[in-house]
Amino acid sequence: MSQGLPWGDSPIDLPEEEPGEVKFLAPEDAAELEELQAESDDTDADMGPHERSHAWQVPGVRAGLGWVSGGVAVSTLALLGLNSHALANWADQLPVASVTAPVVSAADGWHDTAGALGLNAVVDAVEGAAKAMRKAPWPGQKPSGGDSETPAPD
Amino acid sequence: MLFPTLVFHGFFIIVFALNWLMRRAGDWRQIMLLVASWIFYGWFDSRFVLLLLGSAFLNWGAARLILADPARGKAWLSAGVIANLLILGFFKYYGFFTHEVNAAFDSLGWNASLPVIDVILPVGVSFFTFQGISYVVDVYKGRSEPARLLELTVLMSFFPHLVAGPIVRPGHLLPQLRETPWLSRGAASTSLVLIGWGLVKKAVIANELGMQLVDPVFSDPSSHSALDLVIASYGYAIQIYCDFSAYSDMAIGFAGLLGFRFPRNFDQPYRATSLQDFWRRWHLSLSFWLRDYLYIGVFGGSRQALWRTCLALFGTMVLGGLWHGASVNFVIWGALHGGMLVAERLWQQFRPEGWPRLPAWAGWFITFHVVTLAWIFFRMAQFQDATALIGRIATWQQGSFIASPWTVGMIVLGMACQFGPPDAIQRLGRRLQVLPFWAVGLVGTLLLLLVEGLRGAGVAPFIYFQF
Repeated sequence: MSQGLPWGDSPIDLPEEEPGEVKFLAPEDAAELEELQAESDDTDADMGPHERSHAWQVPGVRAGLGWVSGGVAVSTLALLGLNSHALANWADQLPVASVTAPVVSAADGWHDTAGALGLNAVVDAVEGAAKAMRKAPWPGQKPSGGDSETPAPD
Repeated sequence: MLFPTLVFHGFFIIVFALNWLMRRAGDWRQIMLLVASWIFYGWFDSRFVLLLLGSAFLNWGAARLILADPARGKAWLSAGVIANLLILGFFKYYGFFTHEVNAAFDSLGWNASLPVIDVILPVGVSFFTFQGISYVVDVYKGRSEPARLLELTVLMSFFPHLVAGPIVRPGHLLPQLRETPWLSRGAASTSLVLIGWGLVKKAVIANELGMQLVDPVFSDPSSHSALDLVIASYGYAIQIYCDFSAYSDMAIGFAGLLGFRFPRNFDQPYRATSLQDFWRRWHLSLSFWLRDYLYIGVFGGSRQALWRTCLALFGTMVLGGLWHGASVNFVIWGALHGGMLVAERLWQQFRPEGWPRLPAWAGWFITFHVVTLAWIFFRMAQFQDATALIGRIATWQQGSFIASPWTVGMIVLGMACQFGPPDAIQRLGRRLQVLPFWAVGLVGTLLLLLVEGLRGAGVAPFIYFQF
């Protein structure tokens, strides 16, 4: 991770991962760095030649690329099975053409199959609950039909 | 291409994989990110990609001329800034300008008129233009290193922040572009939390409030009761916060997964106890941009006579309002904020000795209601409509009532997250990072299924896309 943005200014910065350990340099390594620092607006310039460790050199900081890739892969595969609604909605919005027709038919077919297998149950249940919650009246208020408008309470 | 859609999901997975496969490929990684950003932007309208490219070339050229000819640096700086403002002005204000000028010609009985062109507003033009201006100014002032054309084009086009910010400073992003990226588990988990929370805020809270309450009430305020109008006004305050901050959260999260750190853009703004405090919490990247480049850079900031400081504050906020579009209501929105900021400054300066300080809860109450009042002007297209709505509230008119426990619950939820722990995202990130990858995948799946079921029919575009 870069130090271009001061540490802590991004919401993804965790204090324990701050690449802040200062390593003082030997004179031969320092000369080159001093030239670079002289050109930059380094607030730590008075500390003498030094460099800050990279994030991956901070003790205890674990790499996250494999972990997040695995998480995204699991989630994507699970969603292909459990969220055929999104696939069908996307396919239905494609322009009508001979190229898109098989895509639309495959997406709709998978949506039907997933429904028959009970894979759409989670989304269907949440949709049903959301519909009921949208229609829920205030205590003492008569439930409305199709028209949700009611007179204002006094 | 909208973040909370299937198309973007597929797009991001491809970019994510290529980004990390090419992590040591130097310029080729930047080229890949640039092409991906053009595809993302071209999804809205492919013609705008040329504008984006032209704008990057213009700013790169201006910076090169500033450095090559320091004696005329100020002239090149002015030329660069003016060129950026002309682009912005043409797309945002040309239609308004020609309409007003032609109306004036008509009223004077002149037989002349400016050509009327149907100008389509490119998505995010204000954001990338501001990014370009900050690059030219920062190079002139020595706050940023000059960028190569490729780097500047990536800086301005990078898809996570391209259409609605956060406005990332060149000095913050250029060093990151030049480094080999690395992703810690903490950064990855907080990025996932930001994306998930952003999705809930946009696809559930903002969408539900917009469709079930705000849009029906604000499109026909004369038929609604005063109570409905008050609740819908609170609803809009929460809707615009959830909509806009969701985009920022997701942008920061997606950039984080690609190995980039973007700055925070929102910090629980509705817990502010003064307008000054509010602007240190709302749309921080624009707020700091206006402070550095307009309030201090153009108007001189606070190190001058009090009346000039007040004028600078007021002028900055009015221009900030006008930045949103050519409309009287945006000017009034800016003037209300500017007026309150001036009033606060004067009160700080001239508060009589011994007078008690305003309790924090009263400061919060006043600030929230001033901000909500200003949002009414921001939301309504016409000045008369906004004043008529406020008039109906003031005279407590009767009418229909559509606010439901569900929509009020959404307002309460949106408000409650303003008062949670400020580091809630990091705390959740820490909890997530101890889980194995498959459990994270399942948590993500469950969240997306809940959002899919709750979000109703589709997702509306982000409100700030129009700016």
